[in-house]
This record gives sequence, C-alpha cells and structure tokens, in this order.
Amino acid sequence: MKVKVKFFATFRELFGGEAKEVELGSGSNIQDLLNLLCDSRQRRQEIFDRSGKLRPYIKILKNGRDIKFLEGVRIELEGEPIQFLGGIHAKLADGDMVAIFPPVGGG
Amino acid sequence: MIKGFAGVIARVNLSTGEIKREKINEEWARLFIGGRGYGSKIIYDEVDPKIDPLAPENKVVIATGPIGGSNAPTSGRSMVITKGAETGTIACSNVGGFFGPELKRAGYDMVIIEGKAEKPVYLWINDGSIEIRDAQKLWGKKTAEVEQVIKQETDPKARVANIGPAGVKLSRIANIMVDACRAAGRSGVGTVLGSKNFLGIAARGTKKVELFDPEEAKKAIAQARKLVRESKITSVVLPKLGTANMVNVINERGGYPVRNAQDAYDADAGVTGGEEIADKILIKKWACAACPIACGRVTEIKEGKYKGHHGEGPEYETTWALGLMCGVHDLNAITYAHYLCNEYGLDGISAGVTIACAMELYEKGYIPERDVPFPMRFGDGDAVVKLVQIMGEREGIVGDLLAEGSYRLAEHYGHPELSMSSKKQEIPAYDPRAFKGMGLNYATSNRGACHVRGYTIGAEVVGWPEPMDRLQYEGKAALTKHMQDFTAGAIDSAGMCLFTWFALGYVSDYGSILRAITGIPYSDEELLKAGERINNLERLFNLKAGLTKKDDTLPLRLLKEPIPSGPSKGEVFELDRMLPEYYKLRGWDKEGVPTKEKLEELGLKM
Ligand code: SF4
Repeated sequence: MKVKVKFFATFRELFGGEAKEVELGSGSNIQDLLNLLCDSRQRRQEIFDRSGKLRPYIKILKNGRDIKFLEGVRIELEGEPIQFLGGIHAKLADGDMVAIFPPVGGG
Repeated sequence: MIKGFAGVIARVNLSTGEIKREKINEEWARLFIGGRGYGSKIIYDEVDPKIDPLAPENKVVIATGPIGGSNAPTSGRSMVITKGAETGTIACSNVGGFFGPELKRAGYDMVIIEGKAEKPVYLWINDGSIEIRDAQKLWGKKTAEVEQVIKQETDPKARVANIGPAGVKLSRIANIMVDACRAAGRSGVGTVLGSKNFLGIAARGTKKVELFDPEEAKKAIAQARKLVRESKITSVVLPKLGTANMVNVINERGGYPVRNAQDAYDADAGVTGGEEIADKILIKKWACAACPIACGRVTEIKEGKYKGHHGEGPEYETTWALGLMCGVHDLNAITYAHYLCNEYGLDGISAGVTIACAMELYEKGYIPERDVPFPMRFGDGDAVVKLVQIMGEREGIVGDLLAEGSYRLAEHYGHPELSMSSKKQEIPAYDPRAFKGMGLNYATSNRGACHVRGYTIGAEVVGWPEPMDRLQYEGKAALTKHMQDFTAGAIDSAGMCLFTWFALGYVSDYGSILRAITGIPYSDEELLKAGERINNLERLFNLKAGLTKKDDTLPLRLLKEPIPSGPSKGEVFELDRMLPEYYKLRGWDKEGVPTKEKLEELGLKM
C-alpha cells in the first residue's frame, strides 16, 4: 500500500522536502512508517528519544486526526473488551495522508 | 506600598483640558492585578454600559501591568480598555511593542482618556510632565507618518501609540498602532479614540520602577527566560517561522476557514504560511520589548505588482483573514493588504473577514449592481487590496459599509447570517467546527469572537500542557473556563504576552515573578480567582449593556452547515453540548447571569 507523508516547519529540512509517497506492507502502522522514514542518525534522534520512544512533542496526524486520539489495538481482559488509543500503533491503510510536525504554536 | 507599579494613574479630560494624577489603589491591585483587570474595573465603575461607545462619556484606559517594564520575558505589553465601538461590549485589546514600558518609565502605570477634545490633539508624556498638543495637521494621516512626525515634534526616542485614517473616519474596526507596527487591534478601540478627537500618545521616560525583592525577581525572571529558551515553540518555531507556522498546522486538521468559512480546508493553504513567508519575503525577525521570542516579521515584497513595498507582517491571523478566508493564495497581495491595514489603522482580522463577507454577498447577488465598485470575487488578491483601500478611506457605498465591519455590512444587505462574527466581532483563524473548545471560547468571550481570551488550541492542537482531542466536547467547558481565567489573571493583567505560555504553562510560573516584583503574596489560586473576578466583572458590564444569553453564540453557518471537505469533513459545532455546563462551572444561572453567591465569593456587585 501507498501512503502520502507531508512534512512541515523545520521537518522539511530534516526530511529533505515537503512531501513523500511511501510504499509499505499491508497491516503497517505509524511506527513502521517512522522506522522507514528515519533512515539516518539525525532523523532518528529528532524523532525518537534514547529509549526509542516517539518524542512527546512531535505531532503526527493521520488524515487530519492526532494519532494520540485514534483507535489502536483492542484486547479482551476477562471477557471485557478494552480499546487502547492508537498513538504510534495506529494502523495505516492505502491512500492515507500522514502529516508530521515538530513542536508548533502561536497565532 | 506595593512595588512594581509606577504608582500613578494620569487622568486626562479632553473636554476641559484638566489633567489629574491619581494614586494606584492597592486593594484593586490585589483584586484585579493591573492591565486588563485594573482597567476593566475603572471602566466598570465609571462608564455607563448603556451609552453609545462613540459618545464623549465613554472612556479609554491605556494600561500596563505590574510586570511591565521589568526584564521579565515579553513584559512590554500594554492594554487598551473601553466600551468597544464594534461590539458595544467591554473591550480590551492587548499590544506589544515598546510603548508600555516607556509609559511606566515616564511615571505612569495607566492613562485614562475622557471627554472629547474640541480639535484633534495628542498627548505628550515626558518623564512625568503631561501636555495636550495640537494634532490638526496630522489628523487623518497614515499611522507611520503620524508616528514619525510626533517623534520629530517631541523626542526621537519617544514611543508612540496612535490611530490612523480609519480611526479618524470612525471605522468601527479601527485599531491603535504602537511603534507603527504592532496593533491593539480588536473591538474598535481605535474608533473610540477617534470619536474623542484624540490621535494618540507619545511617551518618554527615564525613571526606574522599584521591585519588591530584586534578588528574588532576578531569579524568577531567569527561570522564566530559561523555560522560554528550552521550549522548542518559543525558541525555534516562533522565531524561525513566526506565528504563521500555524497555517499548515491548522489547515492539516481541516479547521482553517476558507471563503467566509464555506469550507475549512484548502490543499494549497501552505503557500500563505510561515514556511513560505520565511522563504519568499522575510528580511529579519522582530521582537517587542524584553522579548526573547521575536515572532515579528520584517518583510519586503520581492516580486510582482507590489514589489518593493516593505513593512511588518503578515501574522498567522492576517495571512489567513486577508488570504484564504477570501480564497486568496497570492502571498504578495496578502502581505501588501496587511501593510495597508497597518497604515490605515485597521484591525487585520476584522478587515479580512469583512471583505470575505462582502465577497460572498457579491457572489450571491445580494449587493445591488449600483453599489458594486468593482467585481469582488473570492480568490482575487488585487480585489482584497483595493477593498482594504476603500475601507480605509470609506470610499463609495461599499467602502463606507466595509468600514463598519462585517455584521453591519451584512445586515445592511439583509443577510446578517453571512457575517462570521460573535457579538458583532469577526472570528479569528480557527474554525469552531474543528476545535470545539475554541468555538465555546468565541461564543463566551466578553469582547466578542476572540482566540486569545481562552486559547484552548494549546490543549486541542499543541498538546500543551495536556493534550485533549480537538473534536471531543467533554471537558471543553472546564478547559475554556480555565484558560479564560488563567489568561485574564496571570497574563493579560500582569502585562505579559500570551506566547510565553507555550513555555510557562502553569500559573505558578507567572506567580513567582508577580510576587517578587509586587510584594503581594498572590497564591496560584488567588491569581486564577483574580482572572475569574475579571471575567465576571466584564460579564456584568455586558449584561448591563443589554447583552443576554442570546449573544453567547456563533454564526448559523458554524452551527448548522457541516464542513464540506478536508480532514474535518462533516463536523458542525454543537454549542448546546457545552454552554449549559460552562454556565454552571462559572456559577451563573441558566440565563448566564452570575448568581448572588458567585458575586459575593468574588467580592463583586451587580
Ligand atoms: S512573542 Fe511576539 S508578540 Fe509576543 S512579545 Fe514577543 S515579539 Fe511581541
């Protein structure tokens, strides 16, 4: 599947452009996409902290929604369904638009 | 005696020429801090809410806060408080630049302007002395020229706040320009000065303001500066890309109103954003007094028919209002239109949104052919430029109506619903359908639609200090109330810039500076309570002016028409899901009137 990724503000410099089309295996999620995009030390360092976690101030949108508030995995605990928020595990589908922002604000 | 204040308020009666000096009321400083809070208390006590805002009985307070003039980051703010010409509500417009600290060094925390001068005048405040001077030959001149001549006539080092042709011609969306490049923009505060035949104030001062505990203040200020340095928003993105970094941020979420909010997304909005501004027109960044952030843009248009013009801006709000809100992608035309707003002394947000309203009225055939000066189509940047010009000059039928703001324009042509405003003030650049908290804030802001009274975008977009889903309704009433009280108490009344909040996210960060400077032991709770008191006082003024629950609303389009495209497609704004809860949290009854108990708790009287 193909997803379109857009970069903004200082990330345009970091990723060398305004947008990219990325080919991913089906069932991929945001983490897989970021792993593919962060193909240099500098990119990895800007996006992930030392323990490999997405830096909390980086904003990622999937089709305009903050991934933090998208649905992620669903599990069952003692027969009760539990829905986790997506974050980096939010699933991607063909044609999705992903936007990646450094910390931004003002206005 | 409390510290941090110059300690004196100047009261200038333009009708009689009398000038009085009054002491700062310490009790009021405790309860209302300074700046917006203290100024609102003066207006509440002294101005009949029912009067015509352009009557001589209206008054204007130009106020600094206790932090103003210190070395605290962004402490150069001043505030203008009056009964607003556009809204008829209590109005307060916050402005940066260098005027505020200069006024304080000249010996005054605030100036109260009352009455009406027989002929145009300006005020010259020079290290304590105050003089009313003739301004006839400057009356109606562009703002930068006024500033320059006043400096020549007074002191080249003076700092000047003045109105331009729009204020002189009583356009209801006239602003007050500071240093010819920063604006006390909203609610028609410049119009009220114009109605008093008052052109502006020049101030020059060399006095030092005493701090309560200089050592503690130094520490608290150093800590605040450190936080500003550490935040990537205040240390990287705002200086690099200016406030217009938000164009893509908001557009990518589908909350960027386009063509008079007929849509909320434009695939090419980025060509009007901060990245493009930095690339194409930015000469250098610019900072207000004591500001390490420097979000201001000094720009020059380098190509096309406006080539060679230079000035300050555009900002996020104006690149939107004069740009995509009018369907325009031409950054050069937007920038030139922004320069013109500054020169005429027009509020850029209201000017752009009013033009967008005119364009929709025109395209729908609601403006009779005999009134139309030229085709006014969405997407035509040159038309926006020409419309700002005729608005500033009040030229022709449409120019004259544009100067009245979108509500009066749309009402004149029988379609008030096409004015994107609340309490007659035009909305800023966040579509409420895509940011529910911001919508509630627009609807309840005491000065009409406004983003900086309760900046819920912090939580809804930036995720600061805590993230909240922008589309959820739950929790937004509490968030809005908190941000409104926080801003009124700790930021607007202290005399700082809202943008520090991206680094100083907590009341305590402001409280430690305020305590060290004034010696008043405000607790964090007391500062929030002061903010609540100020919001309630403003509310009381508006209720007495005749506003009701009915006015706490948004244009029908935003309530009923789903966003047609983009990432927030299908969203409307359901005010009823938040307003009753908001009233309850505020301690107001079902009609939005503060209860007796709430007023007692805050020490206020109806
Ligand atoms: S952040 Fe921008 S608006 Fe605020 S004080 Fe600094 S330069 Fe002025």
